[in-house]
Amino acid sequence: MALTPKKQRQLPGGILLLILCLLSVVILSVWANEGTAGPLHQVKSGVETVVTPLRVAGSVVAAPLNAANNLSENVTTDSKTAEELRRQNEELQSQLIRMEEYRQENERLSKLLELKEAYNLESVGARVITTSTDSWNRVITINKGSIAGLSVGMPVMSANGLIGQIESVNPYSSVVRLIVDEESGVAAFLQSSRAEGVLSGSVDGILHLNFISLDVSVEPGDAVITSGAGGIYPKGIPLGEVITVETSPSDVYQRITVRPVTRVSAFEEVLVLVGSEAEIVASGTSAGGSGSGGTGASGSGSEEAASTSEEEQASGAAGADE
Amino acid sequence: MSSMETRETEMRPSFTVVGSLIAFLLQVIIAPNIAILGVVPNFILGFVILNAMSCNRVRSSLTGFILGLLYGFISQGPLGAMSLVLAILGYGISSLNKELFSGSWQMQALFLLIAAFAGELLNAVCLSILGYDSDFRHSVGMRVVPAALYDAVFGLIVFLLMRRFSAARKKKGSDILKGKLD
Repeated sequence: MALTPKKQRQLPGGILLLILCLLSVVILSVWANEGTAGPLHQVKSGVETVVTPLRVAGSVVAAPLNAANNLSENVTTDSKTAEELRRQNEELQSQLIRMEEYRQENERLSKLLELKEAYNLESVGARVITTSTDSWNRVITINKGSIAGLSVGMPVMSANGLIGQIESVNPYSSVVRLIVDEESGVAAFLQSSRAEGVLSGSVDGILHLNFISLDVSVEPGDAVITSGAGGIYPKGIPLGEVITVETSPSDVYQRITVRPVTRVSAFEEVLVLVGSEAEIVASGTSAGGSGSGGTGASGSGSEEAASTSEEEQASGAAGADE
Repeated sequence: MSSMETRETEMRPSFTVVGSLIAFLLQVIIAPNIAILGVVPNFILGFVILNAMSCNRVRSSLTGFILGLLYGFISQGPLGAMSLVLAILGYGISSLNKELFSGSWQMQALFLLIAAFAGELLNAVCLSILGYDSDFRHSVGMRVVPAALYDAVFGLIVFLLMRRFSAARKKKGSDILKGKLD
């Protein structure tokens, strides 16, 4: 009897592809419809927890690469000096915005005495573990999660200003969606004119201040700060400064581009405002509720946040080191 | 010569398993740290293309699906989108004539670039359909094209390394055979 080659039983490729496509669509559908407590989200959270140590390892591995990158950037100058000056410049810019807030506050509220601090929010310092693993989302992962008291929606700041909002939380890490992401939008206003708009991210990493009408005077260099509207972000946190202003007769609003107050690559430690959402809203409301008084109050809030930042960052960094 | 006829040149399953694991680890550990202007290389997509160039349709689409699902777990996009994209991409590439992949390295580079572009574009279309808030043309210019270039460069490096190792292994095998015959 002639031996026939043993036929391998295998599903035809076309049918398998069809099954896999259907399965993908089912997963997509379940993912979109289930809440954050759904099984797929739980699995994702589990995977995130498992890969967090790998990400930490990655950031350690990348540290020399980043250092080399900085070195090549500053090849013509003393690297430490240039980096220090850049950092100082960013801090001074941020201080300038805050000082301007104080000045305006004094002008408007000189008759309204006994100004109380609008914010008394707790904050947690955290270290940035990694940036996005894909090109479509501008997010960072920080080394503090639900165990440290973080929850979805909390605002996240660098020493210079607002950088984003917590999007998802795992026990030991959290994902922060940055304000430069296309999906982000922050209620903001121009410090000079108090005109309110919405600051949105874009694909090229530049912010756009939308809904500022044509009759508002806007100049490059004008500071943009959070307005507190919507109750997510406290009022008066620096966001960036206007780079360009374009208007055309056919437009309803001005086209304003804004440079973020902090570069994504520049922050390693961040500050999460962990006061409950209600507290943040209350602070934001009280800040705005006293009319123009809110601005000054928020200014002090920012100052307080910034001062807390240094302490918290130190403890956060220490925590990270541990 | 169809893909089925070149079964003898097909990579072993261990290549797919080990390669998948390495691609996943690279995506988690290395990719975020080597982003250029927000463009992150997609090692997983690159591996799915390379795997599909040397495997049959079943293995290629299955690998694409599984790796796409893992990619969904570690990224912020909707879960299932990348598995759909990579399953289709893997199947499509493995259905092509394998002679396409045996030409000069320039041809292979061009093929990798086209395949990476197709994968990134398919992903962009998928995200767009799913409601990703972005100007599609702008996204193609700012994300799809640079990301495809980035993926293709890494894919080409790995492909050339694979070819070199494969040639060295064949040479060693033929030397042993020759020694036995002598």
